[in-house]
Amino acid sequence: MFKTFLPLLISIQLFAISNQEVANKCEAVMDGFRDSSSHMKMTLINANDQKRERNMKMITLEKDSGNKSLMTFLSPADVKGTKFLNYEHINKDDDQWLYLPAIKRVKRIASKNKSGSFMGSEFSYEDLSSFSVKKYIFSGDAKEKTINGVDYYIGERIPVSKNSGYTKQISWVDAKTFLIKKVEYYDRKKELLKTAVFDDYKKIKGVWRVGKMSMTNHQNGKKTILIWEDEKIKIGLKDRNFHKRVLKK
Amino acid sequence: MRVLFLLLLSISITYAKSNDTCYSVQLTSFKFKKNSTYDFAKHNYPESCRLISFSNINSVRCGCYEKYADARKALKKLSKKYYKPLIVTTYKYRFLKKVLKTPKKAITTTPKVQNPQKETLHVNKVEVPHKKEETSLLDNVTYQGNIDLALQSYMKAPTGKEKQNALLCANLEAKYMNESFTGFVKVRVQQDYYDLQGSAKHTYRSFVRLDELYGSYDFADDTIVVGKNILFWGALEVRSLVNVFNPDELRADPFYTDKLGVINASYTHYTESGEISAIVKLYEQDRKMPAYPYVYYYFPATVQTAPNVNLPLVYDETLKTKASRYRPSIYLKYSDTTDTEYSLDYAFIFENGYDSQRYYTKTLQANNTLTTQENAYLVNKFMTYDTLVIGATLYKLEATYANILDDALISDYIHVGAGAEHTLSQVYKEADLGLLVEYYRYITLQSGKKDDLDLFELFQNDLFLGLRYSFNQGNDASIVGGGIFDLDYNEQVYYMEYQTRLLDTFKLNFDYRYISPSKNYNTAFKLMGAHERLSLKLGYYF
Repeated sequence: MFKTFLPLLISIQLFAISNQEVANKCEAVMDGFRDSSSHMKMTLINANDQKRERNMKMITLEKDSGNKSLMTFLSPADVKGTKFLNYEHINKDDDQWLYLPAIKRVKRIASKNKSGSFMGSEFSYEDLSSFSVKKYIFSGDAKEKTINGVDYYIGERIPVSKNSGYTKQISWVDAKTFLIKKVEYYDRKKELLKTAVFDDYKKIKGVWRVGKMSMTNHQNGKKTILIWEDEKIKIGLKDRNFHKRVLKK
Repeated sequence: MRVLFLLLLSISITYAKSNDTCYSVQLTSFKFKKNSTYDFAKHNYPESCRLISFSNINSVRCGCYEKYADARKALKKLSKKYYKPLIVTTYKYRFLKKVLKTPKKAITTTPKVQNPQKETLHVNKVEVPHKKEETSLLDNVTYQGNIDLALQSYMKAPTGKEKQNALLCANLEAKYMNESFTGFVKVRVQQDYYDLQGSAKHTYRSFVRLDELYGSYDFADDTIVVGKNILFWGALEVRSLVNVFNPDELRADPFYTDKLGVINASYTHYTESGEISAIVKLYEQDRKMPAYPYVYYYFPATVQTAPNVNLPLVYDETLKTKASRYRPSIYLKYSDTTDTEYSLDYAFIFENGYDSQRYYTKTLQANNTLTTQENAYLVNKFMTYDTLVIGATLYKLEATYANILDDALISDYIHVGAGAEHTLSQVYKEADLGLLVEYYRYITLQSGKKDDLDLFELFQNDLFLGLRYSFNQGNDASIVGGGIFDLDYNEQVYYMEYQTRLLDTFKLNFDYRYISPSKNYNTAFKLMGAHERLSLKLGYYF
């Protein structure tokens, strides 16, 4: 009996992959875009299936110390021209400014609340920030599961930030490409809050970029679909493109 | 009416076309970077689409329609698949070119290689007009605006004042951006209901006003701006003490910010995280005032000059200054952000020029009427506004010190405001609750001169306590409310404002305000009288 199971146990140990390792590989395939520019279309769907559309333009600069991003709202019309500038930080709260074009005001905002809703959607600010292994604690080995012929690594990650709205996240990673396909988010009460599904990955200049993200909130029945269109990377953006001066342009 | 005329005019200019041109639907436009390998075929645009190149702009345009209505139909169809397509005029010869069926081969589209006019001549033998297509300019123009209808009802207001008010206003702005140059224009049109009535009822709050018209040019680390524009300085919510570059519009609802554009020239140099600016304001402008029937006209209709002698008081809009009103005001500003654990945004401003604080004097005219005029004087002024972020709390400070240069009636003064804004997240479902507290203090440094009462300064020793409840839903609904308490003169102001978006194009504001003025001191609120109002504003945004 022991002799039968020993080789099996050894082989399982040999092929097991840690959650940390899966996360490192996920980061590696998505990393290195340097900078990006895209059009974002966000569709808010309420529990009665009524839809509302929001459009934004976003540019991002990849930085070791935390990415910089500038979002310009294009619709609805009353917020057209509103800009949101974010400097991500790994070890402290992000720096955030909002530009309100109607009164030409650049307003500093507190970023502690990473779990707050972004534009009334089911996405929070932390859901929209780039994936980085530095933001999570990983432990143990990933579980393997095959669904419809696709192998997945399923692993748990715990947000490092004490301001995160989540106690844990379960990620589903395509075992072949190491692209994140699904994330389940658990709230502070450790109950399943939301599920994000990642689709339409495109390889742009050698880097995988997600094209569509659907976030379903299981507690309120609402859903938000975010689509990235016309995305370009490595277009030569510099820190200067993310200086506060751009808010008033 | 004027707005409609302006809109119609701009639309007609945009869509005017000659016999050489047709209407087409533009899906996108962009610039080519050097060595770009843009592949038009790869995008699978409809058959009717062409990649059209101008001098430095390329665009994808579909269909060539004689009738505008046909282009509209195509626009409607394409809108379902493409983001915000627009109708433009295009020379017909551009659509005579057949689409090359080379989907696998990328077209190298550097300006040197691509010469669409020559290419079209060769293929189609069509005479190419020499003049440039007008739409290449419009490709870089964006516009937006809103039309608001505001209805106000005053449950408490001084006798002789209108108890209801209706105001229709429109803001229209257009921006032209091309590489480093930006041109901007903003116009406001306002029509008060009473100005459409008999002249005795006129409030004189109807106008067409050019708020901004400026050009700015960006260098790598510098920007030059020339023209008429509006700048915002400040950190506090209820009253920004340093937001003084542009004067307030006196004909507007005083509870909402409405600034007048100022003609100026500025140079700004950007450092790694901050900026240094030098701004020259070129002249001081007159300010128009509404007429007596309007609730927020602060002067009495008549003034008693002797027992049983009451003379009419008329506002004369000509600004009185000792130096020339064309004497420039110079502002030097430095602002930056610290890269510390708790981030601090700070700004320091020095001004040599006309002060934003004004006072009024009366003059007896030959025709036995009294006129009152606004007076401006010169100062050296130091200002700062700062925001410190600690966790979910913003700490704010604004301070100003003015040294009066040419007016013996006015004392040097200090005006300070400090506040905090703490946000409690997800207090109910997704909703956030903001707690606001602000304190203001105004001090004159010399006695025997005009004091805060003479200067109508409302925020001389005042405490503000407020709440902001953001529902954090798709309609961006929020409720803001609070009370302002005058600690010297026992005055209180209470307000509550609800706003929400409707159908993604309309915005609804509802507000309630109650002012209990001082009983013993001649404050600005006492002069205005006890006040209670309801206001409803519906805005259409485009």
